[in-house]
Amino acid sequence: MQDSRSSSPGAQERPSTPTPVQSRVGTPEPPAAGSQETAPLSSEEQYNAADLTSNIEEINIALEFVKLVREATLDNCGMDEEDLERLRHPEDPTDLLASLEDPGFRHALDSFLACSGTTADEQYTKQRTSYLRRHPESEMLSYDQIKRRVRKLTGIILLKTDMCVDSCVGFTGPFADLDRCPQCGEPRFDDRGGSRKQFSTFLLGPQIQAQFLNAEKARDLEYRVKITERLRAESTGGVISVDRHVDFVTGSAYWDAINSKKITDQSLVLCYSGDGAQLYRDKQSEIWLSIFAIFDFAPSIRYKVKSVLPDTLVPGPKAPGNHMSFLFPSIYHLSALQREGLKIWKADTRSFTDLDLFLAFATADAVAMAYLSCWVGHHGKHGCRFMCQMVGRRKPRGSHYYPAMLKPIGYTESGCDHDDIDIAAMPQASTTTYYDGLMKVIRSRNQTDYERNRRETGITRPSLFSALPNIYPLPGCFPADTLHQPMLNVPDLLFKLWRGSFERSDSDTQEWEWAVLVGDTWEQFGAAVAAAAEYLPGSFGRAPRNPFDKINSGFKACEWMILLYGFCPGLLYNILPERFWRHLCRLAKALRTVLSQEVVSADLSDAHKHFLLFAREFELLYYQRRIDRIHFVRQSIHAFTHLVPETLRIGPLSLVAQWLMERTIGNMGQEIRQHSTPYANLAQRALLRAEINALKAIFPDLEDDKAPLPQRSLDIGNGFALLRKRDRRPLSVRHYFQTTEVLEAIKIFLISTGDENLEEWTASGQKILRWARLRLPNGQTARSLWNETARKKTPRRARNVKVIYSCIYSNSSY
Amino acid sequence: MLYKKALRFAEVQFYFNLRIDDRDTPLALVSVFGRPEEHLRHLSFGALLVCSFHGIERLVVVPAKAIQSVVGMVPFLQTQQDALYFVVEKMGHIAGDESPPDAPDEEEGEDE
Repeated sequence: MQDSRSSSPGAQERPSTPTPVQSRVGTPEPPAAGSQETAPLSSEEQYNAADLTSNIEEINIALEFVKLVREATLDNCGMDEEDLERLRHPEDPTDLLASLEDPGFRHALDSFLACSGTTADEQYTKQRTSYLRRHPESEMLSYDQIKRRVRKLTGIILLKTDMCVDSCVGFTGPFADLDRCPQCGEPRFDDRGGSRKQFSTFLLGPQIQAQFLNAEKARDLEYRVKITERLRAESTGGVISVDRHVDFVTGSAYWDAINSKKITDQSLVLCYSGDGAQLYRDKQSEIWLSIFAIFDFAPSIRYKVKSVLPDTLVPGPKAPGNHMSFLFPSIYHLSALQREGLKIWKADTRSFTDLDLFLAFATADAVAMAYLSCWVGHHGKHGCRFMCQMVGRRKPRGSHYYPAMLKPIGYTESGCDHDDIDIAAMPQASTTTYYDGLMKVIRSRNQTDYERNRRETGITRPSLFSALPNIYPLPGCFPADTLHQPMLNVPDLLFKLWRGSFERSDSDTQEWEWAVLVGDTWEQFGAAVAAAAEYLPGSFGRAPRNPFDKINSGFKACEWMILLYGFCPGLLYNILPERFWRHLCRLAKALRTVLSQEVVSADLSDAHKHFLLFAREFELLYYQRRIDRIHFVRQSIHAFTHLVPETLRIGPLSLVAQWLMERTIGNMGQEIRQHSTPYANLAQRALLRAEINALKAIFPDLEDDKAPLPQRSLDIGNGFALLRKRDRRPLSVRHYFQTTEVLEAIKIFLISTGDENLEEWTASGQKILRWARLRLPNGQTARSLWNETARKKTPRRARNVKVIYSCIYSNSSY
Repeated sequence: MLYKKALRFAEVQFYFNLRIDDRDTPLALVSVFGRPEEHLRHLSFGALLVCSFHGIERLVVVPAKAIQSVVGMVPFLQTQQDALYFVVEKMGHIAGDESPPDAPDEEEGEDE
């Protein structure tokens, strides 16, 4: 399948000339004279070339933000002189790296890390007092001293920016000099001239520099370049073909960027991720949190807490109003780094070199994505999250659009009474259509025209990300989120339909033959789900609770995932009418393919077929071309039609899913222990997180979270290990087991390896030494019957495995 | 002679090492589930794999490293037949993998 989002050839070639150093100069540069004298400028070129203005005030504000980011320099990032100098001209870190060898400092640092709780200063001081009592002759840094040393070591810069006390705007960009909120009029400063409220940005540059200081850690960052080399070597005629999609490097968008030299060996590839979240379930406590992940790390390291870089934290309790003004400091800084380059230490050559930062993805759930991509949202006429050309339909006099492909019977709604849509032939979003649409919106003549253009293009205003010189072409830098759509929205929709609790029009009096999860059947189904939990290995994560009791008590995405895609094909067989059950099975099969641990390329075309049929059959089975059921057809159903093309474009979707973001918010939330001042505390926790991550990068020795094999295990190679328990001494198979089957099985296996092996074993008394558990390369631990039946408390069963089986292992055809 | 290799599901009884060709070879004694029931597999587009379990009647030794992953085998109670289980495989990737570590090791450390 072709990359459906790649931009037109002209638009792609222009920025690629000729070296990575020049590509940093920035996109707004007009095309070289003479190169395109006759060709009219494309919309993308027009957007990038001129100082645009618009008749629409909110677009003008967005354009001002964009203009500033395009002209970003490190001088204007808000850093003080010293920080700026250090970022641009870092010192040779040799002495710094050696400082850990001072035992006194090492001890102080260990203690600092050990005391990273809420009352860190208090804990540290107690430890220090106790230490000095025991060793009165020695010295130990005070808490303030060690804090300052850590600050200096890591170079983390926390930028505090004023914001409206009611969270309407951040005082950034065009709002930077205002004394009052431009939206609600609340004053920015208190009576004494101090800021009333601020949000935090942890500047990216120093956090990245820290990641490169240590030679050992820096090697971890070579993963992307190495795997790129390997794939290039395996390619034929510039075409990369992979039998498994293992990472974003197998996606076509990556190779477009490699071939156009937007990404080189000197690049560092980043992923931005942002999300709004509520800290407390029962009261307004919205925060906005964003992070950067470094995609030059292998996936096994990339998503670890220590590898994730905190970015922006906006305190609540109200959600940010103008998101662009809050994203601004961070994106501005990134733009400046992209334009100027970032100096990083190369341990092997003992010198500094320039790094090109490339932003591959900006991810968010569908709601937050509207703030990043400035897309209209899922109820719009062009409400597809992937900005494809699918046009929605609305109910007569309704304002919400639904992406129903099939035209309802007797439907004459103007603007959306088009014939049936063939989804397989639907044009996907491209950079060209995106910028055409964007320019149309910018050129709106007046408010009415603007509202029409917004509706017809699905774009509300320019995205701040359009101002970055090194990024996947818009809108392709905004990938699918496979957490909220398939794991929350779709299960919610399907279960409401099956339970008959979905919103039903008064005119819809026909029986819902699929609504079978009612009364006793629903209660029994709930019990069956609860009973299935003990058969689910612990490594699968949280098992779904009984939905009969708990479906309205914050059923989690991971519970839905296992329930709908893991359990339901089995548990709803003979319960859902067969057509509806098979329809579900189609979805489960396709989604498991796309989100499996290893995405097998050969399975993708089948998965795509199933997704397309699922979307179509959903309309035939449930909505049935009824005007009063248009509201069944949600964007979450339509989104499935994009998942396989997205996988081909950007690699396994689970690698850019929002799980990471959710986890970061979750464990930051847990770390807030001072609930009287949660927001201030959260900022402190994020600062500490940034500093500790940097410390661990600089001094990998400090890490205590390495996960070595459990004690007394036996490494058997290839990522496998035998784990205890183990027999104390070898036991005789003949005497120990009551039946002959065990002995027979071992004999047959030995014969298959050669008769002499059997003879040798028989001669030595037919003894074995059993082990209870096996660690697998994928990190799972397979247990055994011996292990699980011997335990006092029966654990969730983890003794069943998938195994490559050959009939030579047995003498009958099981 | 050619031996066809296929993915099958199995319950592990225990793991052990044997000297084979003068090398310690890690093995697993497993009870192999029957092949997925074809009618249901076909009807469900491969989403529902129902396998029969036969306990010690189908004990087989396999190389420990032939084990690919841990799966859930959930009792399939929708038909009259006994000892049927359906397969649940782990989805999702390492990204934000929150899965708790398997049960604490100290509990399992005692030798027998």
